[in-house]
Amino acid sequence: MTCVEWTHPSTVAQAIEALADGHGQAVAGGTTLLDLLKLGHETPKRYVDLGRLPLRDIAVTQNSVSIGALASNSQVANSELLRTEFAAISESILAGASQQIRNAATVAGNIMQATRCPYFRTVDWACNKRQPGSGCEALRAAGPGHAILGTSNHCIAVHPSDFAVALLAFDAIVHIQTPSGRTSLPLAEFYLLPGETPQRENRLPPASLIVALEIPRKMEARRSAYLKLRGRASYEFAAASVAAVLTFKESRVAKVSMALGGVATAPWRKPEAEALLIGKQLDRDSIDRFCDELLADARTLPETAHKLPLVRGAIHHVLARLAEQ
Amino acid sequence: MKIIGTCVDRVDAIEKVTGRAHYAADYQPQGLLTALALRSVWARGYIRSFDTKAALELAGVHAVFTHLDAKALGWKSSREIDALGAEGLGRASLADAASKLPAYRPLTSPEIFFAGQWIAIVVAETLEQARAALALIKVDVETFEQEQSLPVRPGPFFAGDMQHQHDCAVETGAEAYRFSGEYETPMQLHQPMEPSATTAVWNADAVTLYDSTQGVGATRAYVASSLDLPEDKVRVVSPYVGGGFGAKNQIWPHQALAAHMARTLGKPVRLQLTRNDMAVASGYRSETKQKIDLVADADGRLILLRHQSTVPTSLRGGFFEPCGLNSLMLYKAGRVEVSHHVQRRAVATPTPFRAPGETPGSFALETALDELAHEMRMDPLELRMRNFAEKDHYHGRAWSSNQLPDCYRQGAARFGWPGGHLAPGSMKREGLAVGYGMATTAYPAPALPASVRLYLRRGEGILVETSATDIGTGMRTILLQTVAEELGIDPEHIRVSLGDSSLTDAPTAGRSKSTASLLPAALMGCRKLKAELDRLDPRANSATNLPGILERFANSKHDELEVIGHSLGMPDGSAMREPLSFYSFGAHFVEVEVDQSIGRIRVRRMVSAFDCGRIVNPKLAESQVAGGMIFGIGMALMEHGIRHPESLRVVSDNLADYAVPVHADIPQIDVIFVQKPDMSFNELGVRGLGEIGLPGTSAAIGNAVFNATGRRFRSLPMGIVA
Repeated sequence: MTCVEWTHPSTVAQAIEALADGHGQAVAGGTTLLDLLKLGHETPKRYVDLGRLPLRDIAVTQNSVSIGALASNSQVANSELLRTEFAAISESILAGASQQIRNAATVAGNIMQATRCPYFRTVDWACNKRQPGSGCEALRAAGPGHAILGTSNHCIAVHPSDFAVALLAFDAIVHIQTPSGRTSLPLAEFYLLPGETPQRENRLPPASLIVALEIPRKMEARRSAYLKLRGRASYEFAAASVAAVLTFKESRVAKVSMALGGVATAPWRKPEAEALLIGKQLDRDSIDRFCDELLADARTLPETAHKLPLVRGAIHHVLARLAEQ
Repeated sequence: MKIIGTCVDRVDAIEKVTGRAHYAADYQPQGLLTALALRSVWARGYIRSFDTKAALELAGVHAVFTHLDAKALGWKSSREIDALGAEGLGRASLADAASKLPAYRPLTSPEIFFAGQWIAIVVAETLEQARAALALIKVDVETFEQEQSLPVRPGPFFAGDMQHQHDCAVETGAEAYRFSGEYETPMQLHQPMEPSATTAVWNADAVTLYDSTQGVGATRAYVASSLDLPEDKVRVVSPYVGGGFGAKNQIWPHQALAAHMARTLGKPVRLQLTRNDMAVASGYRSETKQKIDLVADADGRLILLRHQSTVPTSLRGGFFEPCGLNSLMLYKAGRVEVSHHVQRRAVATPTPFRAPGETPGSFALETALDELAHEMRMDPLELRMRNFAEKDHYHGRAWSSNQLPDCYRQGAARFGWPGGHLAPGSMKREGLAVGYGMATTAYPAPALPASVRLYLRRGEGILVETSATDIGTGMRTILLQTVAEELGIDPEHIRVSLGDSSLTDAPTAGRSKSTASLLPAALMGCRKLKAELDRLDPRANSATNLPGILERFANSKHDELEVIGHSLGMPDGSAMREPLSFYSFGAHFVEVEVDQSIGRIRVRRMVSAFDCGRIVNPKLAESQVAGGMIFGIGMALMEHGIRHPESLRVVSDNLADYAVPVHADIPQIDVIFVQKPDMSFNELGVRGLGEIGLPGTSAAIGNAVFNATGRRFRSLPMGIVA
């Protein structure tokens, strides 16, 4: 760990300014960044501590909920509105990390967190994400935790967030402050697949900050759930996870959105597959056809082959649970 | 006063939970330097050169040591050092050509033997400086391919034959069933709460090590040999040890290296293993491959029990998992055959890990018995009872006390074991598959000579001292109980001091032997003390209503009084009517719930009954064996040391990638002690119980999963498989 400069802006404008020269790294809860620092990852010239920015509120209007970028994970998970109207979001947060980490970690930090691929974290392995062009050890020696969707010949690291998976299922929008003004982007367009440039993970412009995450509210009655599968009962990243949001009309699916976690290089969704369920009753056949389409592009390795039946099982499980409600 | 057999709270509990208990890395002597090791990422190779210039120029860095300059520390390799340390354990059993070469010792040769080997050490003023310096060291290595060698057939190890056949004079019918199964267990890491650490402080020509070790005496011998000093110039202090499980049982190079560096640099040095180091520099449980063949008659009586194991060790080490130990003695079979093959590989040297041998071995044996029982449509408990060994056929001796039938009965009754053949997939609860499984556990009951000093000083109560360590087991507390009861003194007048090599000799805390080694010594010390007071106080011979020990001492003319009690270890065979075999036993009963569509396995209930002789402190004893059972949950469901397939480097060398159970994984655990004192073993009838909770647990869980689902896991961990 080398000696670095810390700045503590108290407004968003000051923070953007501190990031402007391209040598600053924003820090919110620090629950990933400080780990990486101790693991010997390259350090920026300057850390920009976002802790004093006024971005912690959850604002509710008739059409949407807007979560301040620095709201803590615990604060959001325990919000009455989110627990009732967006159950999968609350469930996804509570399924992740530990209570202490959820208290410290922020929501924007959550969706920006780094992969837990061991070859990325430990600096003396080859990793194209950490050191572009150095190669991908995971492709030579995959583990049970690697991705089967959205992979490339340069990276198969899984995106670790649970929360982002639930947000994606709820069509969340990312609000961003750039040096030239405010902009926004659907979360569905926010993440980049690794392709040939796994070091580029999202479309956040340079010297910019996420300021809020907005979730549209819908008038119709909808059900949602988040299911996370993992080897131990708590405090572990997902082997596979599913966030589903469903609206029924006369026992048939009127609307559905489903996102997958733990299996893909970015939170995963496929509208073409969802379209197959519209107007259908949820039975084994219709769900199987949906899974076939959703997972059609999966590429497994011997070490990750177990994930395919696992994620199918999770989808059946979640949809059955929602159909019963 | 009755205090043995009661639930006395751990006497050092308050120190531990308030942070007042100081562990090896907590000592902060003036001018302390911190050392960190650089691990090789190459499996095999020769180091051509180092570039340490940039590291040495970094502020706060005092030294960088490599094999090129470690000689200046007086650091060397020798046969004597090899024999005293972890790297030498088992070499006599293997007795192959590699066992005759010098054992691996870091910084003594340019050769790299495994990925993870320590190839350089940085000493700096802070941990951060040391870490930054490590990243600046450049190494030029000529790598080469890992060699293949033929497996070795080891000789006797861990007091058991590794190649063995015997026939028992048992009456069995004609062969009716034959079962063969192959089993695998993964590499497992100890990762105790407290990583190993040594803080070395010199004073003139003597050194004190604040160390995290299970044995201060063994550490002293190794470090003194390494430093070329007489043992009385080395003091090892380990009053608190944050778990060991075997990782701190043998003596590892870092314990001496800290002392060498501190001597040369003229400042105290702390060498603490990181979590990553804990996977390569203090041992681990190796992978195992095992095959079990069972042949039974129509009633399930075993005609043949064959257990073959193939296990790895390092290129120059010797320790391997003696998987067949339980198969040698636990069941009565017409013929028992046990064999082991050891394969040398470019890996770090493995080491004992809680019930070494029995733990992976019982997974194979107890799963195979369940498979046979299923094939026969027989109750797996009944199958075990029919093959109960009423004596130790392997050693040809009677058991000192074997209450296994009682463990089966009491465990089954408390659990509600249904009996009969319970078909797989026959139980459901709220849409989940429910299954029951069971398995047997057994572990030897050894004892070694030990000494305990009792010291009375005017106005100060009684001090109980021994060099034994309390690695979280409760040794401090049960010593106090023994002395309080024998002397009839209120515990508040007793102080116990442990974990210092300057105190009286005691064996290393490991292999479940401390209780049976230390308590008889304490008992004898108490008797000596009473005799000494009788001698000083002539009323003793006539009066029947004497005041307490402390009053009698206060009334004497003496300011202090000291006695040392000794125990002799194992009972004297020549004094017995017949030689006996000493073991502890137990039976596990487990209920699991399985959601098959999502691969979710949850252990819902565990009932285990144990025969460990008389229980000194039921609260601490239960905590010990429940801890072992929890290890079994980890082993069954999640613990998985993953190696890189080419370099064999440990990928999961940290607690992010190596999962151990959390609270939410642990069900209701119900522990029964059958409490039959083993009076042939020692006067108190006590046996150790550090390991007995673990063997068999993972098999019982796997057997329950099979009962729930019909799916048999022959390879651990079961993980999450839909």
